[in-house]
Amino acid sequence: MIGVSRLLRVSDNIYRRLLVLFPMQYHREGLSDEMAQIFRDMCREVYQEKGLGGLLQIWLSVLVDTLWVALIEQLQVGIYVTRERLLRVGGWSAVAGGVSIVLMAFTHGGPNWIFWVGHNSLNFLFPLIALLYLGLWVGLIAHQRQGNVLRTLGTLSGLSGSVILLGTGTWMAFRNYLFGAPTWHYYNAGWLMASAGLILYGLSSLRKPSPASGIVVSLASGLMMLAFYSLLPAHQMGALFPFDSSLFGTLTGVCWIVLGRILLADSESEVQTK
Amino acid sequence: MTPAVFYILLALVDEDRHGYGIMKEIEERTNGEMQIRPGTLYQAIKRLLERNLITEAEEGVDLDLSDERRRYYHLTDFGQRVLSSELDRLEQMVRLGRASQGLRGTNLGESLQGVMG
Repeated sequence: MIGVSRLLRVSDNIYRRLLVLFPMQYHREGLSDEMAQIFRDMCREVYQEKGLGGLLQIWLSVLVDTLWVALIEQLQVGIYVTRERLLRVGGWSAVAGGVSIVLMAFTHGGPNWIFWVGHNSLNFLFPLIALLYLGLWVGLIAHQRQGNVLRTLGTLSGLSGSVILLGTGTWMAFRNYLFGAPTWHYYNAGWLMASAGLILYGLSSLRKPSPASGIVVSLASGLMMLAFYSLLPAHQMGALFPFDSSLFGTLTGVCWIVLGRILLADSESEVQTK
Repeated sequence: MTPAVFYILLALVDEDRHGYGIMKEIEERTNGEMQIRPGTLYQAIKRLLERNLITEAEEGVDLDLSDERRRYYHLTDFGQRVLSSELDRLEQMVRLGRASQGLRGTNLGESLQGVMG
């Protein structure tokens, strides 16, 4: 059983985190601190009078109020995107993408221990991975402080690849459900471009050591993606290599997760610098 | 003027109050019919500060609540004038409504009864 003061403290902490949604001006001028103070007073009072039920009621009304007002206020000032936010989007996309790729590797190419879920039911992974890959590029673009030819080429290839993957992945996900006959041509092209994008980006970091030098991992990611996809049975190349594609899928996923960690660390250091 | 802004200005007529004080005062004056949540309250306070209808008074401690320091808000002369003219406007609207030929009775309940037949 959680104590009253602990419960109120947790409630206070959650509310404070919600206030991040408000524009920067609210934090600079101390208005968000006052809002938190008021919320604490409200919770204390309502808990004494009505107990847990009252607290839940307050939470519901305050949640709706907070989300609505924060949205209106953000729209008023215009959505202000900081580099740190972009890095965070990229970082979490890479981590989630990495996990999805591992899942896909075991579903579509590996020992199929997860096959009982149903092959087609995991088709949503195609568009999901494409979307997360696009998110990863948002972070990579924010990460690069200086550009060079290779990096520009990599970015172009990666972004084009992700758009093709997103379009064909979504189409395939539906088509597989409806007709059970996937079309791989365009998806293959998208995947190859996506892999090439990361490889070029990684090469550019090797050539020009910069804060982006940690992105060497992207080179490994790209190579692993290439290997993974070449080995997928559906790609018709699986017979050429005697390896299990789930191994490369897992390695790709791990690389993405490491890449995500690098972007998130960069985002943290950006906050500290401020 | 939105109802929230109107009630906030009204709550500051008699004395300077902090955020929670404003909230409680509004609740009391309207018999709990108007309940303002922190988001709406500070959205309105921010606008009122920007338009100089209220200002920040000195910080103080409200020992009835806790020993934390709180920012108090004060209604400016300009704020008082705006509130007065809003009251005049509302008064005129009510007078106009009451003077309408079709309205029987003097309160909304009776007027609605008239409409419903």
